[in-house]
Amino acid sequence: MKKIIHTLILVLIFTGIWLVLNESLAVSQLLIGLFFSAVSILFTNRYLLEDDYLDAYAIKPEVLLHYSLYLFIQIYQSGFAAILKIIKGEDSVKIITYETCMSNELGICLLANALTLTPGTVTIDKNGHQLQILAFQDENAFTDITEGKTCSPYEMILRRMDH
Amino acid sequence: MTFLETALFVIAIYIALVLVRVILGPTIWDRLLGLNAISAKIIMSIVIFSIITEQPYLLDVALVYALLGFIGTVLIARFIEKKGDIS
Amino acid sequence: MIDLLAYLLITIALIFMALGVIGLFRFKDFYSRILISAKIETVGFLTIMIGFTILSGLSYAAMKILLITLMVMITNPLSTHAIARSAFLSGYPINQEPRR
Repeated sequence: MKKIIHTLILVLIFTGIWLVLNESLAVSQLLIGLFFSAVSILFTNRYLLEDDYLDAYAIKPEVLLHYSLYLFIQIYQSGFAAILKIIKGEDSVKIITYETCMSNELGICLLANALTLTPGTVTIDKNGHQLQILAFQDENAFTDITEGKTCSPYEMILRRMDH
Repeated sequence: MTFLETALFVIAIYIALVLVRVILGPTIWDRLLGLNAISAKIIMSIVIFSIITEQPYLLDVALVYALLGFIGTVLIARFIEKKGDIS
Repeated sequence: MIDLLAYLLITIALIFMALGVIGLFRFKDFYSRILISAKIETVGFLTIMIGFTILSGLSYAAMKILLITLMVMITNPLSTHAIARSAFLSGYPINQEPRR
């Protein structure tokens, strides 16, 4: 029952995207959108993914919303920090090896994406639970965390995503 | 000249400056970085152009350009991985 | 009135992108270039797209611009990551000691 509800939510989202792309709200367009959304979800589930769609992308909508809001603020904060770096012109970099405290593959993937999205850090490699992060010499947010063995704020939000 | 046309002109100047970096760039990864920056700026120019001329279907072109630019960059980056010195 | 807000956002984004272009020429090392310049792009892109959305009002065009923004926000870090990973795995040297 829960699975059917989740699939229905996905179908509704995809139909919304279809309507936006076609720029019309006609009934025929709505029916075509529903049909193609259902077909694409079933096809992806059956042939393209190894495990189920809902297991591979299991994330609560409210956690995703909170996460994107936090990321939005963080992007602007580090954007202004990057301006200072350009004016001062520091150019020495280092590589941090960082151990995440999450076990979920999708969570680690989202964390790596967020690190690359904020100015100042780029994720280079992922090996199991270890991430290799390229950062400036004076970046200390993640080295402090590695010594103190606590989670970064990103992970505190992402850990609540499991159903 | 309206405000949006001025913005389009400024973005064109930025594209020319990044192109200088692409031509100068000592390694192939500098050139890829320039390609990535130029494709982001071209998407912005297409959106501005569609707002100026009031033709909303040009936005589809921007959507396709975003997808193709991403695929091109990732493909070239994966292709030259671990082969190094073809700069 | 609301157009003025959009113009202000677009101007801020243009200033951000100018700084990104300056950073592309100012830094001497490839890794610091990729850390700063490609990422300033993200901030500039987000700001300028919010400005365009406000400018085009409540219409299908505005929703399409939001869709483009969402897609670029997902794919842009992936391509930056692919470039940095390609340079790192090919053995491009990382300068560890600070230069004066």
